[in-house]
Amino acid sequence: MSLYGMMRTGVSGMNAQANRLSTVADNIANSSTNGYKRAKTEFSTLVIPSTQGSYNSGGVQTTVRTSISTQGVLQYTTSVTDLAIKGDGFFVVQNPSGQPLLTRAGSFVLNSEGEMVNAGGFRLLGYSYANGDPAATANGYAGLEPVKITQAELIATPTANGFLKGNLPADAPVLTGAPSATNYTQKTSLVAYGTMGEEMLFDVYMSKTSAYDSSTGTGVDEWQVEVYDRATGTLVPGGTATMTFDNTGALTAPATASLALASGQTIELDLNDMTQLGAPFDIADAAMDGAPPSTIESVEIGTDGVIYAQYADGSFKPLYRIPVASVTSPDQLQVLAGNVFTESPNSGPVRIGFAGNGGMGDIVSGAVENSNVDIAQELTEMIESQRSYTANSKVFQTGSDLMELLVNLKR
Amino acid sequence: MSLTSALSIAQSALFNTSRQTSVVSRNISDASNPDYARRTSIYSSTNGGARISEIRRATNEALFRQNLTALSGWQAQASMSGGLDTLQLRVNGPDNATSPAAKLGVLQEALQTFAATPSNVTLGENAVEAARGLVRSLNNGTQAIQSYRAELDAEIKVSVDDLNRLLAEFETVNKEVVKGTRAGSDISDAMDARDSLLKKISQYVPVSTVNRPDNDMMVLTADGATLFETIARPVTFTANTTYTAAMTGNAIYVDGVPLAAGTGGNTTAMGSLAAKLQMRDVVAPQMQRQLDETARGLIEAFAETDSSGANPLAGLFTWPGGPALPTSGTLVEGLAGRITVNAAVDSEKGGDPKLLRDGGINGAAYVKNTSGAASYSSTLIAYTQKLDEPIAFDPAAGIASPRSLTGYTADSIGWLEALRQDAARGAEAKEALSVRTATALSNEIGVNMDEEMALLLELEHSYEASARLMSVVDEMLATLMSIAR
Repeated sequence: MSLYGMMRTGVSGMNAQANRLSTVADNIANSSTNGYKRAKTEFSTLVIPSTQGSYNSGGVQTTVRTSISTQGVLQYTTSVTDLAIKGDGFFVVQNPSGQPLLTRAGSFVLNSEGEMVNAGGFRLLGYSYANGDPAATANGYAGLEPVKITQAELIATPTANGFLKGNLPADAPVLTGAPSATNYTQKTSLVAYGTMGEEMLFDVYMSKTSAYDSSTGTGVDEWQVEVYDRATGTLVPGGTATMTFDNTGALTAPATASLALASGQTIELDLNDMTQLGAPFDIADAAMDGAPPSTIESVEIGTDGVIYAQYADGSFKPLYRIPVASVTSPDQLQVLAGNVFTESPNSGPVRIGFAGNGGMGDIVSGAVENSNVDIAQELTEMIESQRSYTANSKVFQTGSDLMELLVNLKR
Repeated sequence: MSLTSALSIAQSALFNTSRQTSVVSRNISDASNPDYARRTSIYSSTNGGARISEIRRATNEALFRQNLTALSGWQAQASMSGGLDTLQLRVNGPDNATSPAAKLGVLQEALQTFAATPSNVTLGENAVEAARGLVRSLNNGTQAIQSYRAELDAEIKVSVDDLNRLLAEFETVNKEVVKGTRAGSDISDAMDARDSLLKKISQYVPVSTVNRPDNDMMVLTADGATLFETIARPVTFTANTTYTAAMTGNAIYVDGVPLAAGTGGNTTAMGSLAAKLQMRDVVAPQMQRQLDETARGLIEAFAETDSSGANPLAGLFTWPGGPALPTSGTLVEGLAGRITVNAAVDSEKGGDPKLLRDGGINGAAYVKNTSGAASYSSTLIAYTQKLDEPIAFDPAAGIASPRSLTGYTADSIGWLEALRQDAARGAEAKEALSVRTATALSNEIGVNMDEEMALLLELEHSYEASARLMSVVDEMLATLMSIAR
């Protein structure tokens, strides 16, 4: 009813459009910011009590929403420490003062201390494998620590298990004399790693000690296995086993040599897959586990969020597991500077889990998530907003003109 | 979302096309490299447009292994064939004028001529000269065989050193493959290098391979000795610089296990090392034994008996154990190298060739021509006949006995020729197999230029299309910008 009321309504409309233009400006400015989530404005009416005959114009209220839950396009890069989440969830990061925050901006690089830091300067948090397989703390940040990868760390894995798989010739004659390193039927050798990661070469001598006699039906096909340390040329304690074969060429009882080394290390050499068939000597497969001492050569990150260190010999060791956090209403998270979010009363509490589990997205290594801003949309919104602003200013101008007329009635 | 994502998809398409083009150009540039296997790029789709997920390398394990085996066989046969040719040229060939068979023929002829005119001392001198020629042929033959064995040792040593170097290289490349596989990087080049090394190794020794996780490979010889498992195993060999007939060569040890020599002319040996061992330890010694038996036969044929026809002693030909005769029918190793013309008949050493006609090389008791008649020829005739009479030879020399001495020398040539023919025929067949498997392998994994060019055309078009897409999106955004003023 009042001219003032109408003018104020025009002002509130202009304010609302100014807010909207601000979000558009922000969106366009951050359209290339990795992990940026588009802000949008929602309007609602403000109604002032009116009577039947007189209408009191109210105003418009602005609410700024952020489309946090909308996925941005993944852009692939060449750095393995660039991470992106495909699906729901956030990385848990820490600001310099130690406060845990959530983010989807995953262009991490290693800083001078080996910590993974993103473009906003936040450190990535993860669960360490130092004390065995980590489990996520569902409802809090407990147990999380900054991921720290020190390249100079040396590790060695001593051999614990080995196996030999192959065929021994059934027609081999029985060995005369006691089996030894110089008197044997067949021989092979395997590399193992000691407690200090040193390379050890073991010679495996296999000697036929007795044979089944088909004419009398007596005797058994028996092979004696002896394992010698090549460096010393001596029989390894425990490095003997007896393999007895039945008439189908299979072992009648499991055969394993348990090498007891002077260093206290024991190596189980599994011989259960040996056969004795009427074919020449043949090694079908053989291996010993363990790895020589080596430094971290590179870092690999799996889709389940496990950070593996790859050592110079090519072996892997898990170092950290990156958790994925989520909240009930991600769009209601509070937005802070640096593409980070923190819980707000409306977002619900943080739940922490692992990538790929329970509705959490997958972690993609070697990719970053682009902002979910579309320039075309922002531009059209800007034009629309500009026109609304102009219309609101016309309302204000009209009120102002009428006021002027009213004031001039009295002279 | 739409325009921006359209842009980013077009961008990733451009990136993919350029990467694929680099794969194609690599294929084309290596088209004539026999160790190169064709690469193809594999796409996987993501929500931001397709992405090249891996570069795959064409392989055919079965054909590759076949090729390795064929290569080993051919190398062995080629070494064998080459070695036999050398022996034929240097010692005992059908067209070889200095072979013992040819020289024996000359001696026989000279004796016959002398027997026809026993009074002619010059003819006696000729006969002794022919005997000298035969001795030279046997002595030189022995030397040639033994120096050939020493040469083989030197060659084996070079091969073994090369093999160790190849295995060390294999270790480096294998490490690269394993590491690359675990890290998920492109290992095609390392795989090419590893396959090429395997081909080189299989020329020396036959290989069988065991594939382990992470593309790790274990290399064994065909008889199960380890050549490579995580680290290269040593291949050891000590060469002898000189050889005598009685000497046995040293074995080649692969990880402590001796390498077996091949057998037969169309040899069972795989890889040049086994073939060289066969030449050194089987073929050359056998030939030596035949020369030794020829020498022993000569000493026996020209032995003198005393007037009672008993107590035979070495006559025209003698040896360090003379004047006693070597045991009949039993091999004396290295005899061919030690046989000499008896000094008593050798005019160069002050002897008298007439003793050949009259007997008495071993003293007065052995004189046959007691009357000193200038026309006495029965001893000479007996000698020529003796050469054609069958005598017992040691079966260890590998030629059927009893046989006449002339027959024996001819058989010795025949033995070598048969072996050589076998080897040559085998070499042809094995070379053909090796070439065939190499061709089949190359058809399977090699680069087909036409295919690559067709692919290149396709790539060109898709690049153009992606670029066009970008320019269209750009135009659309420009239109939008011009509205907002």
